[in-house]
Amino acid sequence: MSGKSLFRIIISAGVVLAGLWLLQRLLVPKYMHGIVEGAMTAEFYQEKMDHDVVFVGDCELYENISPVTMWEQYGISSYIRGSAQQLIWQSYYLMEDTLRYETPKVFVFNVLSLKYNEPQKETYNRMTLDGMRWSASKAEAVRVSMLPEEQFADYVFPILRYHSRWQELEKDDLTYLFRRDKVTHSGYYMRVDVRPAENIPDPRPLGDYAFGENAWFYLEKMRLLCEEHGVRLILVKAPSLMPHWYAEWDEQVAAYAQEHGLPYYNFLETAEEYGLDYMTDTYDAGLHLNLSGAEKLGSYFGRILSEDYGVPDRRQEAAAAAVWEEKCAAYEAERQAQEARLAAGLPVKGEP
Amino acid sequence: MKKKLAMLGMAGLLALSIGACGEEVKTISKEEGSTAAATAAAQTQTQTAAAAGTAAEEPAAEGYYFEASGIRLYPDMDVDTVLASLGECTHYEEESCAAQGMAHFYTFADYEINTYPDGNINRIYYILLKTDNVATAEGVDLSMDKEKVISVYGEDYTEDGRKLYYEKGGMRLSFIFNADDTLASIEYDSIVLEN
Repeated sequence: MSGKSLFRIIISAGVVLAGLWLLQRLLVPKYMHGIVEGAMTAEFYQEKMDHDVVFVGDCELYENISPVTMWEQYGISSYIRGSAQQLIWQSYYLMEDTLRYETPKVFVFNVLSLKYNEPQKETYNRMTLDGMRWSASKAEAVRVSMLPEEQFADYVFPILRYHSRWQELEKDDLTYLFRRDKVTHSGYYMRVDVRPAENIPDPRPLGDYAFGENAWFYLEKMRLLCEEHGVRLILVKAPSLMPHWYAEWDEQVAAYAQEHGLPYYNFLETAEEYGLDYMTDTYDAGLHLNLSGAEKLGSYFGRILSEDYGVPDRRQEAAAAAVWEEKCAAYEAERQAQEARLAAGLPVKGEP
Repeated sequence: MKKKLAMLGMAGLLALSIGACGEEVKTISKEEGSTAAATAAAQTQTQTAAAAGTAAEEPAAEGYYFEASGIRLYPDMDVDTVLASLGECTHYEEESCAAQGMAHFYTFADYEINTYPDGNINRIYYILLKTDNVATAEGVDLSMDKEKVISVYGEDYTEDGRKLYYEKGGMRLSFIFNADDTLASIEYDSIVLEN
């Protein structure tokens, strides 16, 4: 084969691969409106500075605590690496992934996901994992998260999974072909509306309250990972009223925390201390806090992080202050936009 | 000629990637409000009903049922067809993370119904008996113990921790016990979402 022929083949192959790459970018879901949770994992990589506190966990974290409040009141630089129904092994691998880019002083983990011992739903897997940059951590996270009907190759080449979306393409698929807007504020998903927590069902008795072996395995891995990197691990239970957090579960977590000298904060039990009012501080009847509730918890936990764990106040650092000034401005702009939509009788999250 | 064949081959590869075989992905949107699980549940429901020779929309009446206000309630039945007849209750909605389905809780004085979404239908996920003012169709209530349950329902049960359950007609009748073997709750459970 002549050099010229080989060159032409290479060019042709390149054209095809570029075409496939472009097609993949078109077909993958963008998560810019409506369900935005699928965009959260990748947003971390746009951060312009390091963080002293990184949260990992599910919607009980990314909807319940305000990093902006922690910055404004205590100068704490934090990020919530949250995602919808993030499972504990996914939290572990997101911790590993975070450590490839920075070493925070504290990792905070919401313990609700201990209730899941096995993979649950492909939809949530994709929302959490598709946005991770490829690494050994992502590969392992995918491997242990997959349901039997899923294929690893579908994560490597998402076009294999989403090819049928060509029938459902929307304007967003072109608008966000090469970029993404931010959907969170340092990982926090904002809602200003109010829906009081009423008629909460009684807890459903369980036949077995023990957390599974797989869940414990990954909690232990988290603890050892933090120890190895000199990062403090703090366990928390967010103040969501549903799903129900059983006393039997809480006892297991408290016992583990005590055995290993880990701090554990159950924010359900201390709700009165930070003035949480489930009639005004939740937007979905107690499942998640609204902005008012998230700021109360941010203020309370921020004080704990600052006073009890020495997380530094970085408001005097020019570079950090500049980054957070931008974040605070965006946060305030969204607060105002949502309040305006609420006043106009529109859904707070909707088409622009 | 060879070059043209090579180009055609590559174009074919590109075309195949669009129309390749594979499971069709259902794009989830808030407006649709359905979930992969609900889709699977609907498919399983259709199969179960078809096997039982009944209409695809309603569960086959072969499993255990709970009777309230003169109405027979089964897991997987459309709750909206009977709710108005069951009397007063409180209502709570629990939306899953990222709008992946809405569960409803209907709490009555003595029992509770939880639902799962199946497209636009709210199907019963479980019925939980909360007090001994109500009983199963076979006469077991919360004042009884494990020995009594087994004497009524027989030895063909499965034990899982403090839960003892009987499967029949594609559903599960579960008895959850306290440490002293007295009953904590009785449930009629759907197993559709487990399949």
